[in-house]
This record gives sequence, C-alpha cells and structure tokens, in this order.
Amino acid sequence: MKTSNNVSTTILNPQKLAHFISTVHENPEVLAQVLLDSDIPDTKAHTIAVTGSTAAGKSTLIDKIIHELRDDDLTVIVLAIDPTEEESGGALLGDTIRMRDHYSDKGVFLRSFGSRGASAAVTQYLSQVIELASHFADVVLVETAGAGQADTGVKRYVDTFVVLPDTRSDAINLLKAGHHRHADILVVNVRAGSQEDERFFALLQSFAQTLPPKDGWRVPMFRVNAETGEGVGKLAREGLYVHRDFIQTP
Amino acid sequence: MPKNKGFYRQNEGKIQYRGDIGDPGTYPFTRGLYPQMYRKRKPTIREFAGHGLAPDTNERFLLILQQGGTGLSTAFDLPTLMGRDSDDPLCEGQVGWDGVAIDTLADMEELFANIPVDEVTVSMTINAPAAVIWAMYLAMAQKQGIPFERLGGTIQNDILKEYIAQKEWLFPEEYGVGLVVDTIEYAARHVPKWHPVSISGYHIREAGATAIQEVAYTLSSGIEYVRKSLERGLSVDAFAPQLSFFFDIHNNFLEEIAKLRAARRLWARIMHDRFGSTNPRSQWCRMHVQTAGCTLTRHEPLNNLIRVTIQALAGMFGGAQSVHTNSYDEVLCTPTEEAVKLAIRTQQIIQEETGICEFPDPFGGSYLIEQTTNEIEQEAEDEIDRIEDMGGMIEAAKQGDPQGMIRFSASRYEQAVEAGEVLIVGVNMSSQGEVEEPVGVAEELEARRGFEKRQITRLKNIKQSRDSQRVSEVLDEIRSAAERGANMMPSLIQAVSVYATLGEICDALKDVWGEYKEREMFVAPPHAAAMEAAVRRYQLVYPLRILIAKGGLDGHDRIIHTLAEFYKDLGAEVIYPGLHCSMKEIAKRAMEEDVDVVAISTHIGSPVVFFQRLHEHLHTFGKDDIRIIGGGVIRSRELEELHKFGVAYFAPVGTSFEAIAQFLCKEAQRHENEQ
Ligand code: B12
Ligand SMILES: Nc1nc2c(ncn2[C@@H]2O[C@H](COP(=O)(O)OP(=O)(O)O)[C@@H](O)[C@H]2O)c(=O)[nH]1
Ligand SMILES: [Mg+2]
Repeated sequence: MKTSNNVSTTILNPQKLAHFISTVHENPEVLAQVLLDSDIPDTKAHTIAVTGSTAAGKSTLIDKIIHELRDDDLTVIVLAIDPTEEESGGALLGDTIRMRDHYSDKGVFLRSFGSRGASAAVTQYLSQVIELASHFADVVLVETAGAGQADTGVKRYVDTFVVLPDTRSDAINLLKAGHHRHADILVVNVRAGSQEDERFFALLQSFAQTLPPKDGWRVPMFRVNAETGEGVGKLAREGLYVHRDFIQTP
Repeated sequence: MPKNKGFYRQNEGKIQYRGDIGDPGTYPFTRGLYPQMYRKRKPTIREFAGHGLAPDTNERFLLILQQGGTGLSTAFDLPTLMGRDSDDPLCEGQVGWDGVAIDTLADMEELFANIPVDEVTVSMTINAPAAVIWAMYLAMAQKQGIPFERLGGTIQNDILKEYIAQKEWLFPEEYGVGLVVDTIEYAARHVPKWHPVSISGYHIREAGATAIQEVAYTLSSGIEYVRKSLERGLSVDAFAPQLSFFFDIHNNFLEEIAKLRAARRLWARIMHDRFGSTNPRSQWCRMHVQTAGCTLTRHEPLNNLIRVTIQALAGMFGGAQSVHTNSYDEVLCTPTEEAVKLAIRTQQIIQEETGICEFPDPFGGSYLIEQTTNEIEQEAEDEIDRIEDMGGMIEAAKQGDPQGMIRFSASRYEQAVEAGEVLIVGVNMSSQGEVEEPVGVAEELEARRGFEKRQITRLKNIKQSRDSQRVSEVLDEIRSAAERGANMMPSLIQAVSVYATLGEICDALKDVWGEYKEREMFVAPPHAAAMEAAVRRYQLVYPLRILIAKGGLDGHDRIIHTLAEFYKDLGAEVIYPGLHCSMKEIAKRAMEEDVDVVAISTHIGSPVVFFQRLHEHLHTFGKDDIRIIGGGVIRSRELEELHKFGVAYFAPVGTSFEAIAQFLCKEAQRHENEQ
C-alpha cells in the first residue's frame, strides 16, 4: 500500500494554523489581523473545491488526490465540511476517516467542519478560512458537504472547482443541476463493475462536449475509480495542475 | 423473541414432526446431531484461556485439564490476533494482556509443552492470521513426529465476521477469504480431524445483533465459504464435514434454545437443498456456544454466576457440542483462576447433578419452542436471501450492510437499557450503586505489567539465534506463492519452521495482497426516543468538538457508534478517526482539528499506558489544554492512576448515558464561561 511518508516537505506551524482556523471560523473579522503575524508566509496555495452529492466518493477521491500531490512533494491542507444537524446543532464529521493514510504525514493537515447553519454545503466564513489556510500549504482542498442542486457558492472562494456528479442522475437532472455547468473540471467516479456508472460516464462525455469554453477554458472530464485510485494521477497532472497554470497565466 | 405473546396452541402454527422436527440424529437435525446426544457424550467443557507468555498460559492449560476441563481453547493477545509482533509500536500496552503472546514457533512449542496434542483437542481463537498460527501448530506436531491425521482441533478462522463484527482484519476481503479456503482445502487433504473454520455468530451477537441476525449472518458466511471452496474444485462432501459453528447464548432463555434448533435445521437444509450434499455429516451444524459476555455486569459481580448458569443451561437444552461458561469477573479482566474454576464447576454441576443430560432436546414438542424455532428459521432465511441477492456475504460486507444492520440493533438495545425497557438487576434495577471488585483482580493486573518486556526480550533472542538468510528466503517464497495464487499452507509451514515471525509473515503477505481498509460509515440509528429526555436536558450550550477513538489495536467499537450519535444529539461535533490509530496519530488529529475533548474508549490492554502516551503526545503538540476523557474496561487501581495523565473523566462499564451527558454538559458550560 502506498503511504506518503517518503516525502520530506512539511507544513510549518500546524499548531498555529489549527488555532487560527478556529479563531477565524468564529470571527472572520480577525483574519486581517491574523495575517499580519510574521510567521505566516506570503505564499498562496492552489485552492481546489471538490463538490458532489453525498456518497459520490468525494472523500475517497480526495484521499487519492493527496497521494498524488504528496508524490510531487506538495503540502496539502484539507478542509472537509459535513452537515450540521438542524435540531441538535451537532454533527458527525466523517470525511477524514477515508484519509487515514495521511494521519501521520507532517505534510498533510486535515480539518473537519460542521456546516453550522451556513448554506447546506459549506460552513460559516469558509472564504476567510480558505484564505487563511492558503498561506500554509501548497494546495488547499475543500470538500463540501453533499451539495444540493445549484449549490455553487464555494466556487467563488477557490481557484479550481471540481464537480463529481451523481452517477445515479439522468440527463435531465444533469442539466437542471446548476453546479455542473460551473465546473472547471468534471470527474466521474466509475465504480468497478458498475454498468450504471459506465452509462453515466458515456452520457456525461457527450454533455461535456456541449459546454462552451469559458474564457478560453474547455472543461475537461476525467474518469476515475476513487476506491483504487485509478485515473487520479491523470486527474492531478492533466486536470488540476493544468488548470492552476491556466489561471496563473495572465 | 416473537411479538406474539399468546399461549401457542397446537393449531396456531405449523408443527410437523416428520420433515421439520424428526428424531434426534435424523435430518434436519432440529433435535440434535446425534440420536443419544449427551447420554453418550456430554458437551466438551472448553474454557477459553490465555495470558502472558507461552509458559504462563501453558501452566493455566495444565490446571484446566487437571480441574476437569476436557478440551483446550486458546485466547491470543490482541497483537497476535492482528498478525503483529510484540515489538511493533502499535502493540504497546497490549502484549500478553488479554491473551497469550505468540511471535514464533518457539512460543507455540512452549504453549503446548507437556500436553499430548494427539489426545487433547485444541481450539484456537484466531482469525486473520489463523493460517500462520495453524502452520505453527502443524510444524510443532511435525517436529514431535505426530502425523497430521492424528491432530484434532479447531481454528476459528472466520474472516467474514471480522470485517462485520470483531474488526481484526489484515487483507482485503477476497484475499482474506482465499486464505480461509486454503486452510479448508489443506485440512480436507491432510488434516482430516481438524475443523479449519468455526463460523461464528458469537461476535456478531456481541457486537449488538439480534438472535435472527446472528443466525442469518453466520449462515450467510457459511454459504460464502462453501461456495468459494466449491469454486476451488473441492466436492462438497470432501470438506463440509469439517466445518463447525460458534454461537452466543444471550439472556432470553427460550429464544436461545429455539435459536440453536433453528440454526441446525436451516444449515442442514442449506447444505442439502442448495449444495446437494449427500453426506449427513456435511449437513451438521456442529456448534460450540459461549455465554454472553455483554450481559454480564460490573455491579454485584457474583450475580454473573447466576446469569451464566442460566445461559449455559439454554446452550445445553439447545444441543450444543461444547460450551464455554464466562467467568463472573468478565467485566474487569480476562478471568482470574478462582473465577475460571467456578465457571468449570458450573458446567460440571449442570452435567452431573441435574440429570438434564439424560434427555436429548427436552423442550422439543413444546408449542412455544417449535413455533419460535419456525419463526427464527423463517426470518433468518429471509435475511440470508437478502444477503444472497446482494451477491453474497463478501459483497454485502464490502457495502457495509451487515455492519450497519448490527449497529442499528446495538443502538436500539443500548437505548432500551437506558430507558429501563430492558432490565439488568443490580444496574438499572435494585441498584445499590456500589461496585466492589472481586478478589484477585488487583494481583492479576500486577502480573500483567511485566509481560511485554519479557516477551520482547524473548523475541529478540530468537531473532538473533535463527538463520536470517533462510528467513529471508522463506519470506520471498511466501510472496511468490501469494503471487502465483498457490495454496499458502506449505510455504507457511516452511516459513514458521525456520522461525520467521508472525509479523514478518503477515507483512510479506500484505506486500502482495495489500491491506484491508476500514470502510466505516455512520448509519442513521433508530429514533432515540429512549435517550430523548437526557438529550434534551443536557443540550450543550456550545458545540464542543470531540475526537472519539479507541486505544491501540482495540476493536470493541460497539459503543463507539452509539456514543458518537449520542454526542452529536447533545450538540457536539464528533470526529472519529477509525480503528487502530496510534496515540501519536490521535494527538496529531486532535491538534489539527483543534478539538476541545479527546474521548478514548478502552476495552483492551492497559488503559494507563494509552492515556499516558496520549498525554505525552498532546503535550508535544502543545495541546495540554485539551480535555481527556475515557470509558470502558478498567480496574479500580488503574482508575486511581488516571488523573496523573490529565484524565478528567472516566466512565467504567455500566455508566448510564445520562451520567455521560451530564459531564459533557458541564464541560460545554465551562467552555462557554471561559470564552
Ligand atoms: C462485546 C465484547 C466483545 C465483542 C466486540 C464487538 C464489537 N465490535 O464491539 C467481541 C466478541 C468481538 C469481542 C472480542 C474480543 N474481546 Co471482548 N468483550 C466484549 C464485552 C463482553 C462487552 C463490551 C461491550 O461492547 N459492551 C456493551 C457496551 C454498550 O458497553 P461498554 O463498551 O462497556 O460501554 C459502556 C461504558 O464502558 C462506557 N464507555 C465505553 N467506552 C467509552 C468511551 C467514552 C469516551 C465514554 C465517555 C464512555 C465509554 O459507556 C458505555 C455505557 O456505560 C466485554 C466484557 C464486558 N462485559 O464489558 C469483553 C472484553 C472487553 N473483551 C475482552 C477480550 C479479551 C476480547 C478479545 C481480545 C478476545 C480474544 N482473545 O479473542 C477480542 C478482541 C476483539 C478486538 N478486535 O479488540 C476482555 C478484555 C480483558 C481486559 N481488558 O482485561 C473483556 C473485558 C472480556 C473478558 N473479561 O475477558 N469482545
Ligand atoms: N466500490 C467503490 N466504492 C466507493 C468508491 N468511491 C467511494 N466508495 C464508497 O462509497 C462510500 C461513500 O464514499 P465517500 O468518499 O465518503 O463519499 P462522499 O460522501 O462523497 O465523501 C464509501 O463507503 C466509499 O468506500 C469507488 O470508486 N468504488
Ligand atoms: Mg465525504
């Protein structure tokens, strides 16, 4: 099994990061002040959001993406959001359990959030938290809670918006669901042996071709198996990195 | 138990003597496997034992035989059960604690010193690495010049219920089951008196399943092993006579008797109808039973003697072939000598003084028992069909289906206890609050503290004295056999014979097969009406962030899921990192998540060592402000030590959920005040 201990890059000052996230998450106004801290580097991470409905395989996919990023010596922060239960205000934050290969890796920092009453898929003051985190690592990966239709709010906070559409969806739903059209990258999680997933992949392939390029970016589509990691290397190198370079070219 | 609380009249159900019931010893074996049952052969008194190093357990084995035990049953420590060597960092605080530590063939030889292994049958409770441990046993016999045909015994070796219930896993499902089939095939060809797998409902039930789920998932696993063995090219009657089963005996006396009868009939029918076996022995659901550990209490521990007696009676009325009676100190530690003696005496008294062994299936023909047997069989069969429709047990387990169903039942049971719908004498009724620790427990504990160091030294010596060149050759051979897809047994026997360690061998297999990855998921629990009062009363004023985890290799996760849901309902944000994390990993996760509380559940090993390590690692991460709390199995002396490691609260077995909520509520209040 691949573990990511063979790389030396580490996240500096994780304690501070952990603490600041809490502070900013409670009170976004302190962000500017926090960023004045001289220990915080001026660098800026590539920020990526992964969205899709519950059990689409977002967490499982992120686990595999981390492996790829670590193989390239990039440090990673994951901000994973799960829904807060309205009635109790409590939440089970279960995303990071899929990322356990990285628990002891000093180059990876995993942080979970309850949505705490913010719009279904994100958490309060997410943009400020992302902004803060982006100073601490090479890549920030945001996992939204199972997104409802057209929940594209998070797109505004990140460089690259990755959408993992629900493979149980049909063409009509696909068109209805707004966030697919906002995607920078489409990923289809084709589970081994699933005819349904295969059919959906074919469907989406034709759909993707109908999307007009946005500001010169033609939305690519990747086929992965989140469980085995198949196709994720390609997604990272031909999708995520390429999009990063694309938005960085003036 | 069926909801119908009628009188069970003759015409209310379908009772057909011929076909459904029949005489003892005739198909479908509802009334027992043998015509004479206990008249001819009493159940084997098989007490599960193991602690410390091999020589310590050897001493206990000799004592058990001398006191009247008629078979042996080996309890391994958790590191061994997880296929790890005693010097592995994740094993700290667990070596020799809850069973015997076995690293190499040298340990195995000492474990059975002075025991005639060609005369006594030996059962070994080992699963994921069972093939390796069995290889050690076979190699030991080989060295003593005993032919394999003369060896009788059982390895538990039921890997499916590990993924489902016991959580001691190593390899992904296909390879895990493949290794089981290797042992079935090898036993069929070379060790004809051995039971290569004991298909177990015990763990499923103890994890919280109902009686029906216990029967269904056990037999579904059985179906999967049979199917995979047939795919291997064996004919059904060549291996099926060697399969055996293991059930739990819970509190509901009459239901448990009916359950064993139903399981026997259903398995006979499955083997006959689905697999076309013609040898009656292939249709036998031969069963070992154990009284239900989860029904035993920390309060008034002597009450446990009564519970165990009643459960053992149900097991015998149900026609079990061998019985383990739990010890009354169950909730505190693996049994002390005094407690084991009483457990054996319990069985002897039942067997010799009550006269019940004179009559096979004495409850047969009772309307209630027959109809309950029918109902359990029917409902279990429906559930088996549902699992089969999913593609069989491997596929169902991959999808987490039985895991979720069991968790649901467990949660419902825990809630019923909390609400007083299920009564436990001395705990939620007639409780006097006080718990007094039985004698001998403190001494037992002292002895345990020394085991780890001794075993690690022993292992070091063996590693120094063996031929390391040979060891690396045999490990290469293991990798190559695994790659070829060969039956692993010959290369395992060869490897253990030159003292390759258990950990080295399992690691070599992981190199080829990979490791099982926990696919934990939380399932929606049943509506917690019973807990609602507590939940409303103790709503947290602030969403405390809690990381909840187990210590070391501990897989007792029944409580974890109930507790996580409960905390969430109180208004907390709960993070569960999964099983088998090191304390360092837990501390790092706690730091990253900036949690307010780390909650550790410990059932295995030394709680003191776990909390000490956690405390140290949190300190290294600069997180001395995190509150540490815990719960689970503990002795009074350890409880006194915990505050040294910053433990603010510990809930021993038997603590009510209300009390747990109370603490958390105060903690949230404190937090709010500090802000
Ligand atoms: C059920 C059980 C099992 C099941 C576990 C199923 C599962 N997935 O959970 C099975 C059968 C698989 C099992 C296996 C083993 N078991 Co076991 N098991 C038990 C048993 C009978 C009950 C535990 C239980 O779940 N109770 C029900 C739940 C609801 O209650 P609870 O866990 O006690 O929780 C309560 C409190 O303790 C508290 N609590 C618990 N944790 C936490 C955490 C926090 C933060 C808080 C606030 C509260 C809290 O809250 C609950 C409400 O009061 C205990 C004995 C006993 N009666 O306690 C032995 C026991 C724990 N097992 C034991 C052993 C040795 C084993 C094995 C090693 C046996 C072997 N050699 O093969 C294996 C190891 C398995 C593994 N992977 O770790 C020993 C441990 C000995 C010791 N510590 O000295 C015990 C004590 C039995 C004995 N006397 O021998 N076991
Ligand atoms: N067989 C298979 N299962 C998968 C795959 N991806 C995810 N899963 C499983 O689907 C469930 C949900 O996955 P998860 O990553 O938590 O989904 P999320 O809710 O979108 O984050 C888990 O049980 C995963 O193990 C896949 O590619 N193949
Ligand atoms: Mg997720």
